[in-house]
Amino acid sequence: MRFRGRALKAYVVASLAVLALHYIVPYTVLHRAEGFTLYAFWSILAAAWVVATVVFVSWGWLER
Amino acid sequence: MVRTIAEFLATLVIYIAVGTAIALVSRRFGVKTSSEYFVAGYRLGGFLSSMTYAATTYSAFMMIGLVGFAYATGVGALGFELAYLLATLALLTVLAPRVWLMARERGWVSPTEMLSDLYGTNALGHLVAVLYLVALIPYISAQMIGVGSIFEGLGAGFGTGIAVAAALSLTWVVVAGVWSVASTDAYQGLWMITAALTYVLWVTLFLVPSAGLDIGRVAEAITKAGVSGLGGFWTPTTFTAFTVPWLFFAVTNPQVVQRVFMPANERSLKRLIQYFAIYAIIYTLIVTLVGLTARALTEVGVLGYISNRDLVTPTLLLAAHPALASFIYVSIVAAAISTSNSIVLSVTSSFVRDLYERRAREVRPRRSITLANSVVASLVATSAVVAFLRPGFVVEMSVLSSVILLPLAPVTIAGWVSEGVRGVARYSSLVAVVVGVSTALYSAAAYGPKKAFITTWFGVPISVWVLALSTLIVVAGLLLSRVKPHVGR
Repeated sequence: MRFRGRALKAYVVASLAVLALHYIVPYTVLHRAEGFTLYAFWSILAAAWVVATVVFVSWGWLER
Repeated sequence: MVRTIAEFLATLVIYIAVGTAIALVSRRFGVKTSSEYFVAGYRLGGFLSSMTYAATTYSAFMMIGLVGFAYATGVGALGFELAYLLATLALLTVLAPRVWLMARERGWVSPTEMLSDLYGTNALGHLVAVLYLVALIPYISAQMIGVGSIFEGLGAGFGTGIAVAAALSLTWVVVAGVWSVASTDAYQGLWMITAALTYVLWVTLFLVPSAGLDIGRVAEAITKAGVSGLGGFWTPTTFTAFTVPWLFFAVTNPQVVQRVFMPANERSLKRLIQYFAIYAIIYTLIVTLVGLTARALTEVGVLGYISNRDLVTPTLLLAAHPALASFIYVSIVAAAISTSNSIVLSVTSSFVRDLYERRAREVRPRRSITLANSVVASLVATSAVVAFLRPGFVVEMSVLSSVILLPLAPVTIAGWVSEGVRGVARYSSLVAVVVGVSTALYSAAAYGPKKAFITTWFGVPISVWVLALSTLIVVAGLLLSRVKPHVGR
């Protein structure tokens, strides 16, 4: 199995960015979030990452 | 309560009967060698691969511990659990193709055998096998204690629960090795996610409206309780301390590392990641939502404050129909069994492959299987005895297991991405494990396992120190040996 073009680099950069958002945004922008705002932020970020990963694994991995 | 016991035992009997039938059917795949016993001869399908990965990962902690954690500490508990998921998906997506291919090319069966092979030294594999015992026996015992506590809470006896957990963990392994474990994991994984969905639907569509609340009032209540943001418990240091060990769970815990070896082909490996990702996010969101909603019910006075957070789910289920409560309780038993027997099997593989097969002049497959079953029985019996005695430090040590195994993260990742580890790097991996584990164990002895988790040195959590120290030693070894990294294939 190999990765399509520069897909691996893009995925690694994106994963670091997502992890950074996961840690930084709640402690800067959403520190005093009310109701389900922070819950929604983390849920949407994780859901987006799940979708990105599912798509990447389908598209970015090239089977031999 | 009497009706709940009867319904629980009836549901448990159905769960055990169906699970045992599935385990027996899985014998048709045939287990003749240790490779087939431990990694299904590298021919596990995509669905089974993903479900066994999910059921092995998610233990009784989710429905008991995480519900209570969200109840007591708020939305931060969701961030803690999702950090694990984000990192795991990234690690699997980037590294699993290489690891999967190397496993079948080099014939890896146990994770310790993999480390010995990557670093060209058996000493590393042996050291890590001992480490697994120290870190994971308490974890298995904690799962059994969870089952025992459910039985005890329902009036069926703590000892009975331990006996049931031990019997199921043993039986569903020895029937057909990982084939029976993966098949019953798939069944249990489906039970767990169905129960969790039912649980959250019952809480949000029945419990909340019957208390005269709606989503707006629930949101107001969690804000009023101070659990909607990251004030109080979840300081940046605490969040870092809790999340760092779990970011690397996918590369430090043998039961999940070994699952990457098993998929039958590249398509099955893709399915492992894709289905697990979907399963994991649904399960995590449900469990934390239940905990937060329970906290809202407390805030508006519908539910008394639950000071022991492990009792949040049992307290909520007092209001449920006995059939529903039993269905959910059995899902917690399933989560505990699917985690404990996978760990037992994985730790056993380290002993059978590293201490017998790699040393024996002539390997007899039947003798390997007999030895494997004996080690499985010994591990289950030891864990059950420890669980039955219920020493306080066991549960605490199980909490710390992720920190104890953390030094394996840089060692494992460096081994995977390096082309031919040699020279000083071989020994630096040993030193990294010894230094990292010693740091974790010293902090556990000095502060107590639970407090060690949140204690800082110079403002930095101990888990970060463990990771940083072991990473520095591994990187120094690689640089001195001039080993080149290589990820893509």
